[in-house]
Amino acid sequence: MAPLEPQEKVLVSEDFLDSTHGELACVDCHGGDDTADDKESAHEGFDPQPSINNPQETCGECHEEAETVPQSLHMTLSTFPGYLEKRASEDTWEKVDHGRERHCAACHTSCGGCHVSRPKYSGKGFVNGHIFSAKPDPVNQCTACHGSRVGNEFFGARGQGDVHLREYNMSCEDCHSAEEMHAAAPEGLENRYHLEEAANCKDCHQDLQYGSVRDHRIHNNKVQCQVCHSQTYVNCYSCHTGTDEEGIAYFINNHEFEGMKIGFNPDRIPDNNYKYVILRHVPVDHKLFDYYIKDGFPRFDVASTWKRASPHNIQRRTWQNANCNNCHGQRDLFLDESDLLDYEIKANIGVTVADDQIPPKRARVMPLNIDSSRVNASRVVTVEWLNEHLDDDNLVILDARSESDYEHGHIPGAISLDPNATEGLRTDPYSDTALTIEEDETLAETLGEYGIAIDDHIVVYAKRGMDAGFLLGILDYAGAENIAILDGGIMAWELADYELSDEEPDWEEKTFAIKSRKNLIVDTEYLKENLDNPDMKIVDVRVMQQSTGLVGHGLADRPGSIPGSVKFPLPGLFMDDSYLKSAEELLWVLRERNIRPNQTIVVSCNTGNWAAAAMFMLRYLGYPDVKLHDESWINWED
Amino acid sequence: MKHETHHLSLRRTLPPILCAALFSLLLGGTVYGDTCITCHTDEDLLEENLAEVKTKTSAMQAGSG
Repeated sequence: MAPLEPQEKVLVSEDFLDSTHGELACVDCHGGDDTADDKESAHEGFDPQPSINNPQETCGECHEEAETVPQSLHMTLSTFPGYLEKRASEDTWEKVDHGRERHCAACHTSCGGCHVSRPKYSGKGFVNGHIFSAKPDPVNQCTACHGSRVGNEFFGARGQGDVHLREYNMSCEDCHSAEEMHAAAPEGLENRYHLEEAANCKDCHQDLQYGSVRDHRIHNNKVQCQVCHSQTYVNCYSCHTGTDEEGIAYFINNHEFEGMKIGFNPDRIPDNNYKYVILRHVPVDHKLFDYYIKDGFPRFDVASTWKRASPHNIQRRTWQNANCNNCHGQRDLFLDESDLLDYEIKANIGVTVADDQIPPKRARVMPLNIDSSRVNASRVVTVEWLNEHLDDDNLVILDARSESDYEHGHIPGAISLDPNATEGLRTDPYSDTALTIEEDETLAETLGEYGIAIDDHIVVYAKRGMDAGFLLGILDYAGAENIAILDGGIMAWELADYELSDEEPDWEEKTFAIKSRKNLIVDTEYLKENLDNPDMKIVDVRVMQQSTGLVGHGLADRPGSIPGSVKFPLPGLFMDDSYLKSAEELLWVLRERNIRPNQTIVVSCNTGNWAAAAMFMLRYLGYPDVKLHDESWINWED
Repeated sequence: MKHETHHLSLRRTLPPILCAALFSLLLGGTVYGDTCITCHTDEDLLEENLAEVKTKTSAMQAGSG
């Protein structure tokens, strides 16, 4: 979501004046003085957010739904203080609640934040020139707040996105009805799942126990739908709060990681009486509000820190439901006491699954028949391997993070080469010619300047795997054979407690004897000529806000996608923190999406960067005929 | 006759009165609209008169929240 300029935030469109709401006087809702002839006087008594401050006498004049909005969860976040109060005591609650107010109560909204403007938390401003929309905008409104979890998962900024969007073009309000959004939350509501009007998969997917899917009959009402149908999701740890030198409140989430854990349901209620649920680690920490009061949570253990979750990244077929034994007997998939921090063990008694409580493996299962014989395993190295080979003669380690991240600490001997900020790898995006990988001479010169020779063993790491993948895609194109990504990137290195350096190494320029693989690149003309070629598959690896046309890229003339392209966002191949899923899982997932090695696979994105990263991964997985549509969407002209 | 005169008088005077009332209403409407709308539909004017409000997010803040 691109930020709005100040004038864009308050610019009223002519079309609004012709709309029903445009018939009202501005002062009817906003107050102020419409007879004043200067800005200050006109805005005296002006209310920029009438639906938050006075919903019943503004929106409520015409919309009876506004009657309950002041008690809605979007307005009150009432279940949030409930959990904190449970953990606090009578003596500590007042100060804990003060901390909550300062740090956690910013993200609430009312009618306006869903129907006319971006919510306050996401910077405010009209979505469409003050024109009201009955349906909230999924990008500018819903996921403007619910972005880091829901939005990233739904649109494929983490994982491959949600099938409801990809296949059925569904939006948030298709599941989360107006009744749910407008409902008054009863006092003392335990959590959002307890709201009578809350969305439930079974609102649409009814009578599964009578359907043709055997696993639905077996697991219905015992296993939460997301256990089988969600992908990995983000977990947050150890949030701490404080006030900086300027007096601004802040929070720090000390650790976040993408993963999946199944556990016992901590919250069994009618309609959601599952035994097993997906659990997400919530950011609460026993020292969360220590800035305000030490030991503010004397009853920390009364609620689990692993909560029931409903990731918004549903797929019909997932790795854990690929066959019975991808779930049954999989110790790592179920929450274990060893997954818990010292101070949260008691809090999670009842949700962890002991060894003898894990559903046992089945004797006979459908084979997955994954052919991993072509996987080029040498293209992935572990931190253990790298630590042992740091002094190898021809090893070149490249840090693909930003320069500032590099300066804060890097793997000893690593050279900083941020592919997103280094000239000489790709052409100038603002020139008149198409943005592509540089000409051979320039590319070779650049790589040589960074101390890289074509026959070096080149290991690339980053914070986000896709940044490393982007650089590796260019190196692959340039003809380097011995290239590898560091599994887990810098996070894995740090977790292993290996040495970090803040010294930039001395390196000598080398001659990079380029042998560019021109056959890996296809241009837009080639794609247009082959749109109906049944042996070619175009894979669009952009996030689905873009590939579904909801949002355009800044360099593109318009939103949209190449006809016939398959939507498979790049984060389906790279996890958040640079860890890689197993080759078998990735091969299976790609096969499920009908992206098969017996076809010519053309990867495309907005500018070619993500597509280059996808090309690296597909070639690592052994796909024999992968092409990079380097010009990508910004050069796609009708 | 008197009665007729009265009718004639109303017939002559009512339309201008109604027109005047309608005109003043329309004019009034335009005036109130102009005060807010004149500025808020003029992007250049807004750009000249609005400063960037600096974000209040602390540099210390980290994580998804």
